[in-house]
Amino acid sequence: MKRTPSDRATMRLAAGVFTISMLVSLASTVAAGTSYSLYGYYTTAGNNYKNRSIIYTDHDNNHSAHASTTSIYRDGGNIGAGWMGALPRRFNGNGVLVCIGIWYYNGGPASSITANGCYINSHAGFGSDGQTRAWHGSGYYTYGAFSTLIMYS
Amino acid sequence: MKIISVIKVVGVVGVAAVAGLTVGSTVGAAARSYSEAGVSATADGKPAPVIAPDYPTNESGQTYGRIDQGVWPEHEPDLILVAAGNGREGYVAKATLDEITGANVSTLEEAIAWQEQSDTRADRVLIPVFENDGSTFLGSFEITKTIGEQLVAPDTED
Repeated sequence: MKRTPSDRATMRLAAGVFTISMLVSLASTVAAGTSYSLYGYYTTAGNNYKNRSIIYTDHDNNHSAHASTTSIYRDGGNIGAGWMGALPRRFNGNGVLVCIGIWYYNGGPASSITANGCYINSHAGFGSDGQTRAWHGSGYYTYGAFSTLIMYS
Repeated sequence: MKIISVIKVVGVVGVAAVAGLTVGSTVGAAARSYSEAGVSATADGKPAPVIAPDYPTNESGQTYGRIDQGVWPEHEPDLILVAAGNGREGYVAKATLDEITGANVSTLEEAIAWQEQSDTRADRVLIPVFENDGSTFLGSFEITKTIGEQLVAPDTED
């Protein structure tokens, strides 16, 4: 089928619209401002867990940001009260600690916990690099969660 | 004939726009996802070993430095590098930090009691930031209240 100059112009226009709409859509998605770290996996006292750090930023909400740390029990069902702990920490763009929360422990049987803290309104770059804990029978082991990317609030 | 051409152009451009939005949002969602990878513990459950950092020591015999990822709590320095609220970098005492954040909790009973007291805590606590001598005041560092969530799996037993 032979294409006319008009068809080619239409195709060029369509390609341009496709590219622009894709970039607009991509930009709006990334502007959501949340970065998740990789999961870290560990086994303590025969129980399997995973953890990760999260940083939330919202440029349009007065440059808000906060950090979260999650601990997830991976064996199904719930783990006993006090067996999991999580601590949020927020770093600046240079990787220096700028805020820390307080430890959050599961007060009752739970399958996962999330500790949210270090809320701030500031136009800057932040990352999250929390810690979690697991009961090993006579005390706690503390595990560093992987770091998130730096996100700008 | 001209009307048909216009309809054709609008149709093609519309399809391109929808396709672009779909591809963009899909790529964006994929970029924010992550692969499940990484092992951070040894077989017996103790966190994976790392070489203890060789921190410098001040005249009072206190070690000081930054807490990088993967450092065991017992390997953290006496004075931890932070950025104060005024933007200046300095050090906070690990002992102070541990006491206020609940890092010293060491039994299940203490953990449950710690959690029961969470509502009584201040929204934020400021602790002093010093130079690496551990005594020259530089500013304040913020410890904030944590808002926790816990999920409970449904009981699957009948």
